[in-house]
Amino acid sequence: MDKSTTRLTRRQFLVGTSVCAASAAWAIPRRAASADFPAGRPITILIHASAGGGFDIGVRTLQPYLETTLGTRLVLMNQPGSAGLVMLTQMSRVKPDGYTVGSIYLPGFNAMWLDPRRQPTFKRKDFRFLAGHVWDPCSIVVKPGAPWKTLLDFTNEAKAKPGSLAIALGGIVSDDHLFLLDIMAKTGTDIKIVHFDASAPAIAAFLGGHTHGLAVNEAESTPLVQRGDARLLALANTQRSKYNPNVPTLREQGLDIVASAVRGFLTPANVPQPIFDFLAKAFKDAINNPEHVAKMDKMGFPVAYLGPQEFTELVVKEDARVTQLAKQFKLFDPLPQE
Amino acid sequence: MESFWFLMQGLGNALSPQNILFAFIGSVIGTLVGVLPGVGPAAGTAILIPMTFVLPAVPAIIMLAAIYYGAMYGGTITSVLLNVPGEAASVVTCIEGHQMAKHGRAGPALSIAAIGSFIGGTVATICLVTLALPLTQLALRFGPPEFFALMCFGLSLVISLAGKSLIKALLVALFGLALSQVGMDPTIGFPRFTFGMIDMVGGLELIAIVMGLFGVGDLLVSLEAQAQDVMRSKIGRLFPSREDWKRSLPAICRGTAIGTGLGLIPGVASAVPTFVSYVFEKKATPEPREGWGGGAIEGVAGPETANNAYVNAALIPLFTLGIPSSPTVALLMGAFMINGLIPGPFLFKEHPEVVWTVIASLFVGNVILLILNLPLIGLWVRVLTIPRGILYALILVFCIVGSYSLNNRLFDPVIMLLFGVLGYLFRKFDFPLAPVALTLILGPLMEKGLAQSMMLSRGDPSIFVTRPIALVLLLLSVLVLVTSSMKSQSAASEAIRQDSQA
Repeated sequence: MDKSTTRLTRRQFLVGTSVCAASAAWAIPRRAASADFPAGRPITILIHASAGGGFDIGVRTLQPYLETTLGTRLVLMNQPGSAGLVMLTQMSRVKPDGYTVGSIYLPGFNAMWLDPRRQPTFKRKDFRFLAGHVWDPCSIVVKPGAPWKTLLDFTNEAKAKPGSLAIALGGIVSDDHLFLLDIMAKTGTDIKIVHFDASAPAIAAFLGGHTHGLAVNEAESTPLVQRGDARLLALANTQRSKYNPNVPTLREQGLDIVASAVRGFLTPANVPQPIFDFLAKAFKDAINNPEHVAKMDKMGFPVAYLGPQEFTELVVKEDARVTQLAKQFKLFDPLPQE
Repeated sequence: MESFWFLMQGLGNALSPQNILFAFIGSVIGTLVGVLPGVGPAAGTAILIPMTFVLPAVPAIIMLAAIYYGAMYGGTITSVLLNVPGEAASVVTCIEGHQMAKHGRAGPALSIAAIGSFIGGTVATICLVTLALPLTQLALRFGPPEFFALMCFGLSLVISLAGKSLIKALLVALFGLALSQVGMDPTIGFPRFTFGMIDMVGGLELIAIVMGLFGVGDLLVSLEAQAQDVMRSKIGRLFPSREDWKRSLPAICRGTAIGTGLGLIPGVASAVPTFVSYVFEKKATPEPREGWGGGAIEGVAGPETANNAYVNAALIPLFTLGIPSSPTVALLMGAFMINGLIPGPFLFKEHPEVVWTVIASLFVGNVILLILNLPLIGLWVRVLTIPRGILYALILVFCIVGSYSLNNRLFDPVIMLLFGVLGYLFRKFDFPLAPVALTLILGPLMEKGLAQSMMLSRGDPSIFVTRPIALVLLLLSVLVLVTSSMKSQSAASEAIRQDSQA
């Protein structure tokens, strides 16, 4: 019942998996892969966040549906640490046999291979992007009694009095951080950014009145809005949200910014094509399962499936955006990926 | 009054056989999680999160909450008996608790810890029922500058943790502070002091370090002291004497207040209230007969009460604002969300039956833990009668497995063993260990507070003196520093005079 034994079991699974995979590869090197994949052996999903957090819950909600479509058991291993760098490094080293899949979120993970200070031992091309799972738009909220009704009200005041307004957010080079930098770049304003290490302390600082605004994802701002602790200034999606239909998008407010936290899955680059296709189809069917979508919806996580091609395009697009913002705000000197 | 009726209704639900069963299961697992070094409450809760998919919402949450506060009961056991802190919150208990065990007073140490935990947990839960909202509003006034000032105050307490030599205490405190700098910088995300090792990017594991310093270090010293029987197999009485009671009761009251207060503030680590309580006891009570560091029961009663008051109070911001104030509470929040319940004030309106049942279960769980723990004390203290060779091997195995399970990597056991050797050297050369643990815990919190304050004020330090709470806390820390250094100065010159006379 205790953790050490359970973890050991998981570890044994992982070791077991890779040992089995290794021996299988040794014995039958050129056999058509998908015919005997996954052959009843468990598939491990490495999760870059700690157990019980928003990311983790999302994957665990998907787990039963994925087990059905994959036809095998899943082993979920949490490998938190350094915002996902630990897990991604591990993913770049695992055997590309399809038995290990990693979780990922954009644009936070783009910084992993772009930011030289993190000394990445991998590049974008070391991975293949399997499926997009959740699409959670960025948002900015202020206190209900605050004088600003739209984002432009807010940025105009920030422009008039540079550095007078502060916004709390969780995480450096997170989707929220880049979103805010995008706003500052496009409106030419100077807003004080106060970094917290997660959304929860950022929300607490905002509620305590220590900052004027808060940049979090819609899934986190909606409960605040519903109970009257905050008012949404803007949502950075392409269309209006079904959770907050009265809030105009940024495009409607005249700012061409689309920013979201997009969660998904990746594999190492060299997974054999038939196995990759098998995995992609299994993820697609599981993610699109209406029961799964409804469950996620109830938690406020909007499911939006992206196929390997669309997801890869998005990764490349976000790479460009992060590169540009990193240069403009001198965050770091982005590493080339091509 | 309304909430009273809801609570009674909740109590009715919490006392249903099914819910009692899950509170019991959670309490047992929590105790185990606390006993096993390295398996902290966060990890223990995380591992059982999948169960919440199968169970209905209420029993699942009751069970996870019970694991959370149950771990605080269990954490005492290894600290007292083996000097191995199972998690950060029981580091302080090692100082006096293990000394009590060495003097055959493990029984009273464990009983007073269980009783104190019960009182602390229950009072904090009463606060949750009656004063939740105003208390949270107060706690929210702690922004980054106040947080920084609070951590400064905590650091100023380091002097009170000094043993014979203030210089040595400050040296090791700096050492701990330096260790806490390893890893990602909190403001710009730059890896520091990692020597290019990916394992160091996430920082050093606090638990691995304290397990090494306290547990393995102590073990090495004991091994060396073959001749003297360090860990005597004498058990002594199991329950506190009348005198123990008299001494512990004020400590328990203070521990309750400290734990509840600090539990309300999001982001305060669970070990902080224990340190504050310990130092407070040192200041508030006259030097006990055993001497501080020699097994004073106040030093067990206060901190152990404080950590249970802390965990129960830490649930208050979750219920009132939907803010998880610690990693374990975040997990608990996850359990709510999996079941489609979003914690926050709306939960009281939309699902009062769930909220009040869970709150009532906190009372039930604390009673279960008390009933569970008191009779087991006789069994636990018998651990001390295990032949030393076997016991030491077991401790080492526990520490290695525990530190490995932190991140499923070999790096942590290696760190743990390295710090074990260091802990041995520290003891040999009479360096105190507690300041290292204190600065390790406070360092990152303080740095974050400072960095965030500077972001708020754009580098203007006046933010610390223009905000009343921050100012008061900073003045208090200066006061503590000045008075205690004056005291130790006079003590030192006294010692020198006596030396030269002799």
